[in-house]
Amino acid sequence: MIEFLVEVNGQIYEISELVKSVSYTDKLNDGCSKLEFSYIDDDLRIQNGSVVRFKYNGANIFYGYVFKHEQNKAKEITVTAYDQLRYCKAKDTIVVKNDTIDSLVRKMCNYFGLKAGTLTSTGYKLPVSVQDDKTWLDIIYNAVSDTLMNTGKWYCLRDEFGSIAVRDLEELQLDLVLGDESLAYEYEYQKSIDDNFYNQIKIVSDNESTGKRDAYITKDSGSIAKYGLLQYFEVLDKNYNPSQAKAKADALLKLYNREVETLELDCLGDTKVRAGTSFFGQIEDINLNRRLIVRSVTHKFIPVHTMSLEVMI
Amino acid sequence: MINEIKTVIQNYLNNAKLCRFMVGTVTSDGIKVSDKLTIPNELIVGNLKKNLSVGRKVRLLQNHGGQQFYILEVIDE
Repeated sequence: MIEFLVEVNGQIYEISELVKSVSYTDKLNDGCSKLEFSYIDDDLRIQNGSVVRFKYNGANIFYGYVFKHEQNKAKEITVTAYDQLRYCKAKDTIVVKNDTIDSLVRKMCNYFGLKAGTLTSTGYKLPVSVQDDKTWLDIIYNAVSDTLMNTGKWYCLRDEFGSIAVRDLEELQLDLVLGDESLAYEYEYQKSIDDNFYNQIKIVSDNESTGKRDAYITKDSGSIAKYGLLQYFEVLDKNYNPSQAKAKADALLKLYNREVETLELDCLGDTKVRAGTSFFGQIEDINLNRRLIVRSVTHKFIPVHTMSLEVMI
Repeated sequence: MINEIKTVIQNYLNNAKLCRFMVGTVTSDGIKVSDKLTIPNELIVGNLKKNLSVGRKVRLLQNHGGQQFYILEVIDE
């Protein structure tokens, strides 16, 4: 069932029998994944930097490094370990030119001496930019959102059992149904227009040919009649020509003119579910019957494997 | 608590890249500001861009966000 190995001072120990609790947390394009576990033992003192490897029912779950350990009088030792992406929180100054997501990730791995795995080639050349004093993770997440805006393709950066990978979310679709009649035992669903909901977009941009600022307004009258007028306002910092500014306003209206839905699910565990994977959600009470992407997931393995998911709707 | 807030604000400001002056030297592929950072020509704007020669020192104004650099003046030797 559980296979838990740690390496301390060059010695490998198997602590599968000693482990009292294990939880694994993974977020989509938001830092490294995290393994927290505790065990009771007199002799084995785990150290920061120790390598941890965890498998569950033969599935590779986590390979990473200890960053924190605590202990108490009852000899219970609590440990937090992160994967390789933890090292990418370091800041640097780079110029992005003729780069793609995968070439940036390759540079990052070379620079920090990290092991790279499958780096899907994205094909989209990022716009030239200066990334001054930014963390590598922020630089790459920036590149991911630029690529998403311009190609509609969504990628994620993650560590897969000790090697860093770039994946297209489309290839992470699982053959898995979660909902009323499959695995889920609790859910919480919310629909709101309190945050990030706008039905009128006003954009202001400097216009070099007329020599003054122009305003562009686009709105959805039906939505305004229903919810009241909620306006979004932005001053663009780059020079957009009128048609680009209009297109941007239309795109923003499309993005914001819908009720924000959030869904959290508690299910029996499936080791294939990581942040970025998608499954088929079926919950009759809220009329849900479609594919959903996992934004974040926490797996708990002892005594029973369960998982809590936050998904995007 | 107050220290955490200070750290958050400091990190935010640092990440937002406020407007500021910079001094650089013209090279063949951009303007060199430091050993690590040569600003590519694509991000440089201003009338003075046309008649720059390699080796001249210039004063730049970085926009909010740090993705455009306006040449304010060529610094006299």
